[in-house]
Amino acid sequence: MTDEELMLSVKNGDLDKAAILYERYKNNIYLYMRYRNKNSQERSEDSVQQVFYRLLRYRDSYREGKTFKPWLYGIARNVSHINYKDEAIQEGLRTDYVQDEGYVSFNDEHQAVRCALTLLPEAYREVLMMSKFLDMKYEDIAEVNNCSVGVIKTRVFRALKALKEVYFKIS
Amino acid sequence: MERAEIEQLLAEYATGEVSDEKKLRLSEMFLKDPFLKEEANTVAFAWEALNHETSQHATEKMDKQFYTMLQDVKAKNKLKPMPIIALKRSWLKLAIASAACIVGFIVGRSSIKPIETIRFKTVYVKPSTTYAVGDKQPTQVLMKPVSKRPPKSRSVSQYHPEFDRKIRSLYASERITAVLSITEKSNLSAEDLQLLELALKEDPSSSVRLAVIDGVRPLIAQTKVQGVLISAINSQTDTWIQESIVDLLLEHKSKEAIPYLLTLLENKTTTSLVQHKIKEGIETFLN
Repeated sequence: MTDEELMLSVKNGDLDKAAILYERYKNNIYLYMRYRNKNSQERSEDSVQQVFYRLLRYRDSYREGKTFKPWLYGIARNVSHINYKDEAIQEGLRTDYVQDEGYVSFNDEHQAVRCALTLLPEAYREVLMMSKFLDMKYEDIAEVNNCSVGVIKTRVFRALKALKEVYFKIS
Repeated sequence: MERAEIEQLLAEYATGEVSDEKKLRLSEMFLKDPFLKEEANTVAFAWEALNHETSQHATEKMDKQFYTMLQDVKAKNKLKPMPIIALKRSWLKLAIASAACIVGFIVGRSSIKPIETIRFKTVYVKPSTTYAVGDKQPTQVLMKPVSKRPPKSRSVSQYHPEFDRKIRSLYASERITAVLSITEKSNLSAEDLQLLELALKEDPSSSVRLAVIDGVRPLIAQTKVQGVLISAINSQTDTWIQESIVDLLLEHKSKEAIPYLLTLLENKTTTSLVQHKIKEGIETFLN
């Protein structure tokens, strides 16, 4: 069954089908949330729960014929924004972006990549996460971001280039 | 080829989504421009570097949480009422509440006890035989049943509904009008006198009471009119109204008023002016 068929079943009351969707997307959403939640495992797991809880709660809002992945990603992004706002309120500071200076060097290569990713501008990091972690096609990413496929491709290229540069700086 | 197109091709190349046709084009471009190949390798390397990141997986704890949540949602979903009932729930509530009110009213009405009324009255019967002074006179106590509804006596309002309404009005002007319209008559009936007495005794406005006194002034020669003034003389709180009544009674030498005037004279609350007037008046009257 495709994702869309499964989601329609969920919408029609067959909630067990949500478990299949969960199994298909839990890792992707989890990875996405890891980068959103500054690599915090606990918070990322909570965020994933919130995403699937919303999927079940707002299942009626899913429309037939709509691609499932962008819809799910929309939920994930909303959850992430809400959590980010809460966190910003709690901490009393709101840093939208990324510092360019003051890199810390890492011995661990994976840790360096992770750090480099978090240091990328939001728009670049977003397309990389969608493409790599959520395994979304360029067309789907373009639909979510409301722009052309060409723009997304260019953004991916520049994001990868920037990632490489940052990686070299910190490693 | 423009730079933007090249970037798009390189992005596809890096992520492995490039078609065979585009691969050939890229190969040609790499041969022509070695820097471009280097650039492509750079982005491909960055893409590969992210592979490790995708190896992170969700934990069992997260799975457990999800399935618990799913069970909860399913349980809640089962508890949801049927759509028709859900739609009509508010109407059902309203209907049930109305039915409960009606049943409560009927049950309450049928089960409530009637208010107990006095069914007997005590009647003291005095024997016809005469007894000497100091003897104890026996009395017989009888319990006589009382009818539930005593016969209605004719009220004042039955005779003068309009006057009765006016004399009980909130406005003093209306009450004065009522008084004046009664006193216009040359011959006052018992009901008229009853109304005037009521006004003279109980009206809170001194103006209304003065209107009564002024109204009955031409009729003071009538004994029954004097009776009205006499009955009201002791209930006056305003000294000057009391003075007016005393003046009026003494002026017309009302014999019936003398005992009441004497009582008023003995009353400690009576003002010295009124006492003086009464003394003078009685002396004049006796001489």
